[in-house]
Amino acid sequence: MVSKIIYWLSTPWRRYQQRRALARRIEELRKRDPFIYK
Amino acid sequence: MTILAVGCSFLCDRSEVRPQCAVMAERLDQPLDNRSIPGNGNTHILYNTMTAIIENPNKYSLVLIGWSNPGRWDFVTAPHKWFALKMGNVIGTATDKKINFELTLFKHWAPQVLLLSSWLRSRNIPFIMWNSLECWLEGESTLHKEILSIPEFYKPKINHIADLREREQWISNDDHHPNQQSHDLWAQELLDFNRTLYK
Repeated sequence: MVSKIIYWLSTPWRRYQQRRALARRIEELRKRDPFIYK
Repeated sequence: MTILAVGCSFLCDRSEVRPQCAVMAERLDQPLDNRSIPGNGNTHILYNTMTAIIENPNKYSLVLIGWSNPGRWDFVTAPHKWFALKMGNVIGTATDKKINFELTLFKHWAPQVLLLSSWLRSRNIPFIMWNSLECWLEGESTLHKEILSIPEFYKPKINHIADLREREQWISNDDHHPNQQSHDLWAQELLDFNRTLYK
């Protein structure tokens, strides 16, 4: 039960980390092919 | 007979620069029907290639396909008015899932390649295709193997944007579209590939 609460409370942090990781991966793609954004 | 070309801005005129497909048509001494649209993605390529051929079943001697970036999600505002969402701009806020973006892009592009190749073959229309923008992702899936075995696909693992950036054959520092030298080089390589394929 406690671990579920901790997991639930950490959800915003995990999602923030996921978004940052995704942004980094897309930036890598953009470096190779700038037209992914254009 | 006419050559049909469908792709993104990499197959379009850009001020004085003539694209590889125009150079190829001139060398083959055939008129060009170029239905490429700058900024658009691969759904436009499938839709407009199939439309052109269904509407003109005996018109084309060769079809040239330059695949666009699969991160472009095409949409229309009118029957012939195409735009594209660039998924890289919106995907971060569109889902909370831990998306594998690169693999997702490959899984959009790979079946489009196989379907269009099979469809063009079923119509007995000679074609060649290449990647204008980055489409390939390394992997071992059955679709990876299928794409690598398509004889009409010119070097599925490479793309025009990476090649021109390596050679610094861009229009300007602010515009990394191919310059004339790059288009001429690709036109020659694609003509050689076409000649070997359909000799």
